[in-house]
Amino acid sequence: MSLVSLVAQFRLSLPSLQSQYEGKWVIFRESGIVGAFSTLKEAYEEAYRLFDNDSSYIVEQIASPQEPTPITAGVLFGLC
Amino acid sequence: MAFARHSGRVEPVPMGLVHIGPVVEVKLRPPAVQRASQVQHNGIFPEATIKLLVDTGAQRTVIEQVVLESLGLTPISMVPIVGVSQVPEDRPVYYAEIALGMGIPGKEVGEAVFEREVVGVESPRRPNEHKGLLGRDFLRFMDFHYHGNNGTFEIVSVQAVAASSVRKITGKPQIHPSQKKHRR
Repeated sequence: MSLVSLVAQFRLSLPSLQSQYEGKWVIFRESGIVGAFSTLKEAYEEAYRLFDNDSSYIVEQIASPQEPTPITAGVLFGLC
Repeated sequence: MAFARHSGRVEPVPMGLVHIGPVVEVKLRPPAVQRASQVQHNGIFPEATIKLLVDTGAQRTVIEQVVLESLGLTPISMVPIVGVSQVPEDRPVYYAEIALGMGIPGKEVGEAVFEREVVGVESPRRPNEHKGLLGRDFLRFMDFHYHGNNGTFEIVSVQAVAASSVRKITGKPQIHPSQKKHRR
């Protein structure tokens, strides 16, 4: 599954995951959540240990969907 | 108490700081767990020395995607970013280590090591000397002093930093123990 598809699947699943995993960093694959951790570092290190860099997973924090952020403040004024 | 600091100046002083901005040189590396694996297999890990523009207007640290992928990094997620098109687009997120040289007055130099998410961005059509922006997600763990009058700036380590993703100054550049054994 591509990165784009995996992220899309995660975003669709997010509402159902929040009650159980709110605030946690999770390893997410096509099959669902593989593990949940307190920090990004812990989640990433476990994901790397299990799957290396095989692009079969993403590491995400269970939180409300992110609003798009400007790359830099100048973009807000069309300056970049 | 003397705090570790990175002192910067942009030539020509003082107007270099106006025309170009506060640019720092950093070492970009895969995170520690990946480096250990790379050393085990290849005897060495990749590292890139690049320049980043300190940007208090940037919420996130962003680096050109080609640079990140040259280190063998693969995306761990995607995040919506608004760029020059003004249209939000998903950009890949990588987990990487950024090391900034720091000096402690009267002592050896060391590094402030910052292992966090970095957003990969497309390379600009007109190449810049800097390969990305060091944003507020990094500055959150430091004090940034901008001396416009004399065209210099400092990034100062904050004593009480406790974030798990930032290692304090140790006085010597960090070298993974496995690299000491396997370095060619």
